[in-house]
This record gives sequence, structure tokens and C-alpha cells, in this order.
Amino acid sequence: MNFNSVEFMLFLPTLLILYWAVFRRDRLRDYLLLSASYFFYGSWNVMYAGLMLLSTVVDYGLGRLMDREERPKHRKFLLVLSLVLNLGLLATFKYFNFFVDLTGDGLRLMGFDPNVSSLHLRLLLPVGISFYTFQSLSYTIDVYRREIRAERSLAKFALFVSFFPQLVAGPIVRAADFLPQLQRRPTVDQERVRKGMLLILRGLAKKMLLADLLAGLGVDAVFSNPGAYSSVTLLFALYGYAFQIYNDFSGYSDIAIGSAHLLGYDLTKNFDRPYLSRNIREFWTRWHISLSTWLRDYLYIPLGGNRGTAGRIRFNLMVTMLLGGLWHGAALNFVFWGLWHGILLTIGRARPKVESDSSPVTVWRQRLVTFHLVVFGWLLFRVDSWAQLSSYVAGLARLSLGTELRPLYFAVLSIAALTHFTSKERLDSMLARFTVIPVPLQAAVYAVVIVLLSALALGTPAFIYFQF
Amino acid sequence: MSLRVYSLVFWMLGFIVLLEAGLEFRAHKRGFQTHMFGRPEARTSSRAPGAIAYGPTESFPFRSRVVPKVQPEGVTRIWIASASYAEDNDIAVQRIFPVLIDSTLLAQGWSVEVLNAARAGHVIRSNRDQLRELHGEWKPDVVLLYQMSLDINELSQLYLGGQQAPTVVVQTDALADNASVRDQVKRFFEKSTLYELVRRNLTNRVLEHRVTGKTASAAMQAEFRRRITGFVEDVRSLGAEPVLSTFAISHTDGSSVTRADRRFLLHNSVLHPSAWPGTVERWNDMIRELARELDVALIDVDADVSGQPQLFKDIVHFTPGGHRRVAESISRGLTTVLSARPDSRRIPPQP
Repeated sequence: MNFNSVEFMLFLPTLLILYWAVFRRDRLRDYLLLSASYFFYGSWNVMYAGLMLLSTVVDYGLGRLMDREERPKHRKFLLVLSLVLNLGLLATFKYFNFFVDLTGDGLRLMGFDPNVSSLHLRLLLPVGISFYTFQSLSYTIDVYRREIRAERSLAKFALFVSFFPQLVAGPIVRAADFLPQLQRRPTVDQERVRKGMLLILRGLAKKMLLADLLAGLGVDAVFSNPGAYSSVTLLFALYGYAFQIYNDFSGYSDIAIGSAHLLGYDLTKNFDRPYLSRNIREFWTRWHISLSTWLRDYLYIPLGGNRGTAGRIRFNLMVTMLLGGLWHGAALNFVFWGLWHGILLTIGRARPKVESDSSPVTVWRQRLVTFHLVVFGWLLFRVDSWAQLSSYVAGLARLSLGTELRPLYFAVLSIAALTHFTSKERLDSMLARFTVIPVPLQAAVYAVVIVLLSALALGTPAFIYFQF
Repeated sequence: MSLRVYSLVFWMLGFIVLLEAGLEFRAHKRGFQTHMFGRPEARTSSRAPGAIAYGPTESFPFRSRVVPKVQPEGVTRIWIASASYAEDNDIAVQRIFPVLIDSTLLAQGWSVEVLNAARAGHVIRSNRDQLRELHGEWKPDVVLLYQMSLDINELSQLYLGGQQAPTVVVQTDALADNASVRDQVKRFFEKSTLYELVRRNLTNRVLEHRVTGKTASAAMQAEFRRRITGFVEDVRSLGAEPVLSTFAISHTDGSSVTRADRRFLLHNSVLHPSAWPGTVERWNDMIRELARELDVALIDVDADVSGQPQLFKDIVHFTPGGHRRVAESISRGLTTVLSARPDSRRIPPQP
């Protein structure tokens, strides 16, 4: 079920009542959350839940064995087993057909005519498989490194993997952050609930008011037929997509973090106004933070990180970003998106540091340049064919004026930009003032806003990151 | 922990229910059907003894004359696969075209039973699924497909919406397996007065500001063709005779569609309202062509009914007069089909 669906509006309050009923019984509380999480996930497809259960049981067992094992070679073998299983599942479900097609294309270039479609696996991509695979992998790697002890309770471990708020599209939670929270009774008070509700509302507004409206009012139509629109329209549709994907994904994270708050748990922060970054390196400390830190800790640093020759560091960066791109989807555009960011990061490392100049003009100039580099990356991310990309770029290069977009699109885009660029302190103080008004009054505002948002939704489009 | 910590959540839900109750009461007083207060006339209406019974009932899932599950000998069962155009819950069951076809053919002496399997929201795929599911019990002999606008909407989303197609297409199919309960919950919510009110007064105005696709793409047309062909093959594999029908719309020229009628077209988020009638026209041609290629009987409802706004409530749904005209057109076509069937029986009308 989607967070922006009626089912979730029924699911969450029902869960809260049951949660309250079993709150003081620790084991029952874990089982309730575990069942709710599997119900939430299984509502897409029960088979998906079976796959997650398999991954969970195997990683739990391997973690326990690894914890007890002292012989380095045996420990390494267990780790490799976990890696093979998790990445094997990911590769089978997500990448197999992609690599088959790629091989077919390669053979065709060499003059052969292979019938690769007969090799395709007819498998459905399980929702959120990339997220929970990475989450589970981080656990086994941490246990291998002896950074954490293996979890003794299968139920708690299963809850860590499947905790419904972050299960489908993150944030990717680390075992070291979440498992300790499961060892104690969570704190749920009115303050936490108010904060959680505010985050949920903010997330819904980002998703349904900004992201979906930008998509519905212009972005989708323009991307579907870029040749039919002026350069100005193409440019503003691209800006629109930048804010759409940010609000879509960070909206999901807000709802996830807010829902976890209602249950007394804390999840990792995933976004920090990324378009305010002054360079690409900073962008990756503000965008999808839980993934970028995962890639840093479990891929970039093991590859050698910043150690070694300049060439080696460049190599490490490129490999990390390329795989980071591929993580998003089994398609070449994601690979190129990753490469684009890898190249930008490599260039950024080679350039002398200028961040020390903090005059507003310099800061905003750097932000503007970084924003446009990121936006070009989003073009690679969004297109689904070379023809679409070339048509879009050619359309931009025509420099034709005028726009087919309506004023309402620009109004929504402006609101998205304003909320993004408004100082965090100002926004926080506005929201803080709201949370001190009497509960019934707050509730009335929530009721009205939620009804407006749900009716305003242009269909119920799934969150973009669900497909990853 | 006290349940009071969640008071904000429950207050909020309470307000939503209260607001809905108030609006439903108002709507009910004005003669509308609502979740809480039901259909106004339902309380007083009662069926006269001996009158014809109509479905759907618990044992008869069709919106047409109730007939026993066991098919009497010599009776030809006609299955209507369609959507809200034929289900039309806003009009009394006796006045919708599938029921009018039934009574017309009976009056002409044909021994037929019409099963109106139309459901609001059906596309060709769900018509096929429903037919496969219920065929064993109800065994139709002739299956008529009257379907189009919702397929246009769905295909526009997939082919014009630019929704990073391959993955989303896979997920859409996957979700379809689980869709029934979810759809019911969604429909229940969407039929709430609060939702409907905001949707009409706010969302439709917002939707008018979209940039939308100007044409149906070739890939969309190919997929529509594949759907129709698949339907015909399915019907034949179940041992029934398929009959295709063209689709009627109120305006054949997109620019003349009135503002009120455009509201229906706003359900399509990616295809421009003025491009919509053109799409229908092209796809009707495709249906005519397919009927020839597949050697299937064709009823040209479009030729008989399209372009007469007075017969339509909006661009695709009929007024009672529209239902009558469609019933006449389809009954005529079905008479030809029935005449050609060796097993169809006609009892001369009694003087």
C-alpha cells in the first residue's frame, strides 16, 4: 500500500490502537509491528514477502554463525555467502534481463543475431528490494567487521529488515542505529506524536501538492513528447522534474520518519535541502543521505577510498557512483547518471577549493552552477530512451521562446522552490508555532488539509523511488 | 503509554467523519445516494408481485433481468462486456441499454437472456478476466464488447505519461492481481461526498491547467489492437461467439466539446481533451478493420449514435434517450448475429 492511499489512512490508526493495547508487553509489541510490516509489504504481493523472509532468515543465521566464529577464513566465507545470496537475489530479480539485453546488443554489434528475449526471466520486480537488500547487507558486513554483535532474536532482526515505514523506499537504516532501539521500550509521548504527524503532513504535501502537481501539470506530458515543446518549456519542465523528484522522495522519507515517530522510533535523516549545495560533493551529503553514506562505508572505503594515487581515487569514485546509479534501476540511463556524477565528483576533487569564499554572490553562484549540473543529471535519470534524450537536448538547443506551460505550473514550481530555499530556521519556527495550538484545532487543520490533498491527487501515482 | 497520546490522530479522523456526515446528510436531503443515508427512494420503493427481478443480487452478478444459472435449452445467452456506459447506476435498470436489448429481442420473439456484465471502471483486460472467471457458471453463447474510453485513459498513462515505462508497466500488472479489495476501498472513499465535493470544485479546475499530449501514439494504437484481438481470441477459446461494437461519443469534433462535457475528459491526465475525440475516431476505424480481419460480427453504434450531444449525459455516458438509441442499434446488429446462428430460436410473437 502506498503512504498516499486510503488503505494507509485506515491501516495506520488501526495499528496505533493495537500498538497501544500491547505497548507494555515487549515481545507482543515486536510481533505486532512485525506482522503489520509484513501485512503492509504483502499487500503488494504475498510472494514478495516470502522473498524478504528468506533473505531475513538466511542473514539472521549467517550473522549468528559469524558472531560465534573466530576463524577469519570461515568468517569471510560466511560473509561471502551472505553477499552472494543478497546480491544474487537482487541480480536475478532486477538485473538479469538487463544484462541479457546488453549482451544481446553487444553480439548484434559484432554481427550476430541472437534471440535473447527467450532467455528473459518473467519475474516481477519486488517493491523495495534494493532498499532492504542493502539494509540486510549492512548488518552482515557490520557483524563481520565486529562493529556490532549479531542480533539474538529472530523477531527483532526480522523487524529491523521489514519495519514498514522505511521498508519500501528507505531511509536505509543501519543495524547499529535501529537494533538498539528495539532492545528498549520506545518512548511515545504527545510531543513525539505531534512531531510525527507534522512530518507525515509535510510529506503528504510534498508528494501530493508539489511532486504530483508538477508531474501532472507539465513534466509528464513534456517528457513524453519533448519534440513538441519550446526550449523554455523544456527547461522549466526539467526544473520541475528536479523539484518533483526531490519532493516525491523526500516526502516519502518525511512520512516514513513521521510514522516511525508515532511508534516511538527514530529513523535516519535522508535529505537536507540538496539544491542548496555549493558543489557536487556537498550535494551527496544532502541528497539520499542514507544511500550515499551506505555507498561510502560499504563500497567506496573498502575500495580504498581517498587512499592511494589520484588515479586510484578517481577509479574508486567512478566505480562507486556507477554502481550507485545502477542501484536505481536496470537501465543504461541510470548508469550514465551515475557516471555523470562520478565525473563531476572527480573534477570537483581536482579543482582548488573555493568554498572558503563565503560572500553571498559567490555562494549563490556556486549553488546555481551546482543546481544546473544536478538538473542535467536528472535529464539522464528521467529519460527512457536515446531518442527521448536527443529530442530533449535538441529542443533545448533550439533556443525557442514562448511556453505551453500554464501559470499554475509556474506557481507550483515557485512554491516548491521557495519552500526549498527558505531558511530551515524560519520554517521550523513556523511549524513550532503550529504545534503549540490546542490539539482539536490542530486536528481540524489536519483533517481539512488531508481531505484537500487526497482529493487534489491526480490519480494515486506511486512514489518514484518505489521502483528502485 | 496512554491512548491520549494519539488524541491528535483520533481527533483528526473524528473531524473527517463529522464533516462527511454533515455533507452526506445535506446531499441525501437533496436526493443523492450516500454511504451513510443510502439511496433516498430505496426506502419507499418495493417490487410488485410478479414483476421482473433485476440484478445484481447475491447469486446473480449482472445488472440485468435475473435468470437462472442453468441455461434453458434453446436459449441464447448474450454477454455484454462493458463499463459504466452499460452499467449506468444513475439510471433505473429498466432504462439501460443492455436491459432494453433484452426486452427488444424478447419482444421480437428471440429466445435470449442478456447478462449485463458491465462494471464501472472496467477496461478490456478486466472484461476478459471477468469473462474467464464467470464463464464456467453462466456459459454465454454470444459476447458483445462495448468498450473504449477507459482503455484510452489507461493506455495514455502508460504510453504518453512517460512514467519510466518498463518498470511501471511490470508493477501495474503485478498490482492488478491484488486490485479488487484495494479498488473497493478506493471506490468507497471516492464515493464519499467530501471527496466528490472537493474533487469537483477544486481538482477539476486544477486539471484544466495541464499540458497534455496532442495525439495517441502508434504504440498506444498497437496495444489497443492487441487488446481487442486478445479479447476475441479468448471469447472463441471459451466456445462463444465474439461481437465487436464501435464506440459512440457525443461530439465528433474535439473543438466543439462543451466545458461541462470536458470534465469527463479530465479523467485522462495526459491526453488533450481536444485530441480525445480524434483518438476515438481512429480506434473505431481500427475496430472496423479488426472485425473484417478476424471475421467477427460488427455493430456500428458509432455510426448510429455519435455526434448527437442530446443523447449523452457527458461525452460517453448516455441519457435515457441515448440508451434507447444504443439498444435499437445493438438489437438490430444482434438480430443479424442471431439469425446466422443455427442454435438460436425464434418464437413468432403472439398476436
